[in-house]
Amino acid sequence: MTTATERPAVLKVEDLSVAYGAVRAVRGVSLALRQAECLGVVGANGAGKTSLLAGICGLVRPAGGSVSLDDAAIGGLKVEETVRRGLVLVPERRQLFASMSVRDNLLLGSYVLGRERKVPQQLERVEELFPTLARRREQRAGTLSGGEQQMLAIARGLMSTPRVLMVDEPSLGLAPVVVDAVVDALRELRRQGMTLLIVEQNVRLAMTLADRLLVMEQGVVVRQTSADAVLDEEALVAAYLGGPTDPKAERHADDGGAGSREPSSDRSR
Amino acid sequence: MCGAALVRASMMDWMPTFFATGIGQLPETLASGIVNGCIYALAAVSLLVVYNVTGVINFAVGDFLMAGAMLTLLFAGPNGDPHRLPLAVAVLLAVVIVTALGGLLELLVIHPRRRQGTIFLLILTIGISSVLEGGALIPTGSLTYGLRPFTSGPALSIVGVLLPRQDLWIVGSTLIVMGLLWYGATRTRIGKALRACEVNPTAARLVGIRVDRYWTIAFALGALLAAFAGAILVPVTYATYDMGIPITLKAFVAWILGGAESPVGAVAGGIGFGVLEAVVLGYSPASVANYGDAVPLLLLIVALVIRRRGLTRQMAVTRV
Repeated sequence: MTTATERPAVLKVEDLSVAYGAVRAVRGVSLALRQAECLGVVGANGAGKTSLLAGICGLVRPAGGSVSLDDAAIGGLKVEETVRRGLVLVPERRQLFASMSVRDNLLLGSYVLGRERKVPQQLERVEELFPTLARRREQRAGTLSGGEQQMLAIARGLMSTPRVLMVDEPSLGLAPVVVDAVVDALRELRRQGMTLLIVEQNVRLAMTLADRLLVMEQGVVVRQTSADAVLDEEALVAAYLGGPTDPKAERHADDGGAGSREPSSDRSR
Repeated sequence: MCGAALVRASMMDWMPTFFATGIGQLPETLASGIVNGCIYALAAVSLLVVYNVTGVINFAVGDFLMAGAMLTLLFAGPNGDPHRLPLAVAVLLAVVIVTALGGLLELLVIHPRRRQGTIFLLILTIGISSVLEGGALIPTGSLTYGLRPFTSGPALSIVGVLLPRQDLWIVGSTLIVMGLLWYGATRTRIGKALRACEVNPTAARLVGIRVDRYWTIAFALGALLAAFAGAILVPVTYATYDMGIPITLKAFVAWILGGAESPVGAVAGGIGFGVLEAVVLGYSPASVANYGDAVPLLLLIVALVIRRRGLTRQMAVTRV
């Protein structure tokens, strides 16, 4: 953690607000993401996590606040432009080009690179990270399984060689086994030094991945801390995130205890 | 002629006419249907490209075709005109100008209003159609113009069917254009990006595709296809300032008949409609054939009734 704090911030968000008409989904959120750091954003459904990402990357025009990437202001730019600056969003529910092949989805991911020579290299690297996709090059993206689609979405995001990759709900709607495969891929990316911002409803999963966590509730950050600190207060976090019923929330807390060794072992690498 | 008389006339003479004009001319009838169908196919694909990328039904497609025909005439000139340009140059120039015009009109007229909904934009394209018609009427007047075939000579006989040379030009060049279109859509970066805008505009923006620009590109490409159809059509028909709207209607019918989703469907719809039209008109008594322009409208009603989904975009099915 100490090494991470010494590195300069790549992505800086200050006092960001996102509104849909009269509804303010994000209210004055600030965060800083350092080189090769993985920041997790957790919170219940409707806490404003997805809107936060949409506001940062310009998919939705922020109602206020500033965003900068490598000290250049990018707040207010449209998403087509922020992608060119190196900020890429892997959206919730994947948003693939369903009727196009896996290969074409990946090549479109490198659209902003034009005809640069690094495209084939990047394709090779991405297929190395996701061997399943290499085996399914010609298959239509819409016919892939849910897990494969998620991998393709992440892989497509990587194709433009981004500075920061933001991943929205990587585990959404996936079977546990498949989630493991996706998480392994994200962990490998982190090991390779990719700067990641991951939004996740599943707190335990976010903890296994992230260096730090932000907890959001009703559009504001209610807690900002290292993964370990959140872990100590697992029951509290479970309460924040509003488990469906109390007994279940307790079970989550128990499971969380078992999974707690994972992040620390990760950092020791 | 009133409706009752029309029905009586057809009942009296339909069958004898059919057998009199005879099966003997069927190959020629079918061939001319296919030739017309190629023009409808090009115009239908033009509608499809614009609609799939932008969601706008481009009512001006027939007028872009008219503009392509008129400009080809202008540059290639009537026979004997010493100032005329070589035919290939004339066609190229006409297509380039109309393509640029399509892109420019999108930028100036459609673009500032693109968030106003598809009905509003449809009405804007009707406006563009009127302006193009008016623009053609001023220099050409209400006269009709024709052009010599691309290559002169008697009709060629292919497996016993007599085919005018220009018909072969139309069919051949339509095939080539469709081939190029397929290649462009599946093999080039711009083509893939156009398809990306069509398949999932949000995802397209997320990979950095400036969807706004592809609206312009789609309109330009649509105008290109229509202008090319006009250029190859003008030797077999007369170009008039008001030739556009009937062609727009027929292209629209072809597009709907073909399922309104894929280019292959649009081409099949175009050829299918061309053949159907040729057979219906070819084997009807004159009293019915006079109502020829009602054929596409009747078919349109039938097609829209059958196609219950209407014109909604097919949603991509994604597995969770």
